[in-house]
Amino acid sequence: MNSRPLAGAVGEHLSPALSSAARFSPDLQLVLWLGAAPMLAACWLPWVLLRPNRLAAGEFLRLPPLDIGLGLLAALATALAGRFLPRAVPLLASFALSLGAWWLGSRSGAAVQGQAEFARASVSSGVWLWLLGAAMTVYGAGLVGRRLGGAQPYLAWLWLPAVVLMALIGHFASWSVVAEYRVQHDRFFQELGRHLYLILVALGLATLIGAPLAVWASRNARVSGVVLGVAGGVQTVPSLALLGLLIAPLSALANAVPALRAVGVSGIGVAPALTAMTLYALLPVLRNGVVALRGVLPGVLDAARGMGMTDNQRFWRVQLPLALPVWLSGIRQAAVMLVGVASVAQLIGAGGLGYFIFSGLQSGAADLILLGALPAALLAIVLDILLRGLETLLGRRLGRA
Amino acid sequence: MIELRNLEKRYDNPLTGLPFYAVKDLSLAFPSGEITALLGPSGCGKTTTLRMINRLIEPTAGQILVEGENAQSLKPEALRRRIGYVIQQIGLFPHLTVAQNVATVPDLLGQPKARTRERVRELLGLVGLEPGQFETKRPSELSGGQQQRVGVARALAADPPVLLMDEPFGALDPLARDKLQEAFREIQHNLKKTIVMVTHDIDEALKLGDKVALLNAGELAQFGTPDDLVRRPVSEFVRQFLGEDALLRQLAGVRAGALARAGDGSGLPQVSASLNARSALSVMLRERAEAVAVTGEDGQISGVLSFHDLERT
Ligand SMILES: Nc1ncnc2c1ncn2[C@@H]1O[C@H](COP(=O)(O)OP(=O)(O)OP(=O)(O)O)[C@@H](O)[C@H]1O
Ligand SMILES: [Mg+2]
Repeated sequence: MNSRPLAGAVGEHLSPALSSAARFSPDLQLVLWLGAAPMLAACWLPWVLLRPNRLAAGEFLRLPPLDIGLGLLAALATALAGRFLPRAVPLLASFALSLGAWWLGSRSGAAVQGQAEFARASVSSGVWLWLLGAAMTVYGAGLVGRRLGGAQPYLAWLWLPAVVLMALIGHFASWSVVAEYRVQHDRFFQELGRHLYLILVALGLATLIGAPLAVWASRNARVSGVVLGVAGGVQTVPSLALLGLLIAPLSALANAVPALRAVGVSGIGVAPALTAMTLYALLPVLRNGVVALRGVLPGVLDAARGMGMTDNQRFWRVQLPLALPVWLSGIRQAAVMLVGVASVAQLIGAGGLGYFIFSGLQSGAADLILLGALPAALLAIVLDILLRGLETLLGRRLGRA
Repeated sequence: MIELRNLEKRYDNPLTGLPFYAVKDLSLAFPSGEITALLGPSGCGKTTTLRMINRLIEPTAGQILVEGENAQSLKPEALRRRIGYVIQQIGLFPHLTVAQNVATVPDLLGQPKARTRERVRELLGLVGLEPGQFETKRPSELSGGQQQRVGVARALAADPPVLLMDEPFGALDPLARDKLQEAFREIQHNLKKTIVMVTHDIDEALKLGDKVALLNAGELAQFGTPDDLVRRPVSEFVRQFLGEDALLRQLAGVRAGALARAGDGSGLPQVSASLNARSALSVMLRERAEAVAVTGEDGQISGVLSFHDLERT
């Protein structure tokens, strides 16, 4: 008799915040704490490295005490909100990431204030650690937001417009990487364009060669064994080695056939880079193509035949449309992979963002490396998102969703 | 009419080289405008026989005549567009709408779009799907029964004289199957297509088949009306396959109203005319009565069903 009112009383004493927090599994809170820990540590680490010029040794600068306090507060608040006030998590996470970006700009700005023109303010371990932690928090906040529903998932993306806005108003102008960019402005766009050109041409060639091969392989077990075996074999050769291996045969080819040399084929430069990248991209295009084409339900193909479609009609009207979304995911994998391979193409003189990475490596200028590496990473992410979007769109249009 | 003459499908075992006959020396005429059920145990060659008719499988010997024409002399695609085909796994195209699915064969035949659109709406109505509601849906948004209805509509789209169906209602739950069988019987009553329907469901064969062809290990065991098979089995195999309760199974496929005769039913136990005859028999046994009164939809007695009437289904 007594147990009922007692249970009711306990229930009433639970705060509403607590009872809603109870909906979140411990693993989400763990993600938030895993994000908070690096941010807490970052507050104590050096934030900016100030050097009189881009190669000289420099001194490490830390956050001012007030900012340290704010940082600790922001990090703790996000993690604790996961336990006590889940609705605040997406907003707080966005705030934490924006705060890191803001400090990146403001601290490097403060550092070069009053310094000579060649002084460089690079970001140091504190920034990286903070951004890493904040990114994890944002990821966790995205998951929290999805469970909360409503506008919450979008709040976890608020940092993006904030950071874009900061970039637009020139908030990062004093950061050493941006300083490098200002010096190499024209070169940067030239190499970025080259990078994109290499990726798109290789992707196009791989699709052009891979698509018919995949169709053939999907119909013939022996062919698919050979084709996938060869493409898989190519994939195991490291990209640098493959570039090296292509130098000899291509220069021999160019020497033997002057017409080819006239259109730009040679042992080094764009031709071998494109050849290697095309070979690399072939495997994902082929593998997904074969899987996608074979994955079309046999009953559907049988119905198509039974309705009186010719082999061609069956392929174009039924098999290909049904295989396309899965096939496209292979092309996406290839595109993302090519961003990386294109970065080493500079080693055989093909250019691309690798130009900055390798000149940075040679001269020991970390900022120059970042000028190549950061856009490359961003490019991979953007390509992935775009092609993923195309996949879902196509999938929905073709009745998969 | 479809006629099979000494039809044979032989597979040679690649290991032993021994021949295996999926269908052996099968001669059979499927009468026009009637449903013939191809019945038999699993693996007896029903699907093989059916798929040889529209040349999805090529026979190793024998002949097939469709409307008097030798099927072998026609282009397979042209032949198939003249024969409706409903397969067991339904096989709707998941990337196309219901309307586009139904329009498949008319489109292949290059029929005018406007007329096809009309035809699609008409067919969806025929199979009991509200056109406005279903036309633009994708197969994945339909229930199994609705998908199968679309499958039937698609097979009928180009108004083929012949319809081949491979276990068309096999994947459905009993209730949906019953409903669809009823709807199908109604449609056939109006359209009078020549239908070959594969099934391993004895009840379905007895209920829907005007004729039943019972196969055993690739050979014809018996061909005749359901009555022939149930009451006059030609072999021990036929008798055993249909089972000792074959008569009851047959009664289950008939409505009590269809067997009732005019008469004075006052004082008799009453059953609804839409009840099946087996249930009516059950009522007789329960009430220890020689006959039951059959009532129409209005509840009025419309006739009398006696025990003897059950003997002449
Ligand atoms: N390609 C093939 N190679 C060898 N044997 C085959 C082949 N196709 C079918 N068979 C054999 O032919 C026989 C008849 O097959 P079929 O598919 O016609 O049976 P079914 O009567 O439709 O059976 P179920 O009711 O199970 O669908 C089976 O024993 C099967 O194993
Ligand atoms: Mg079968």
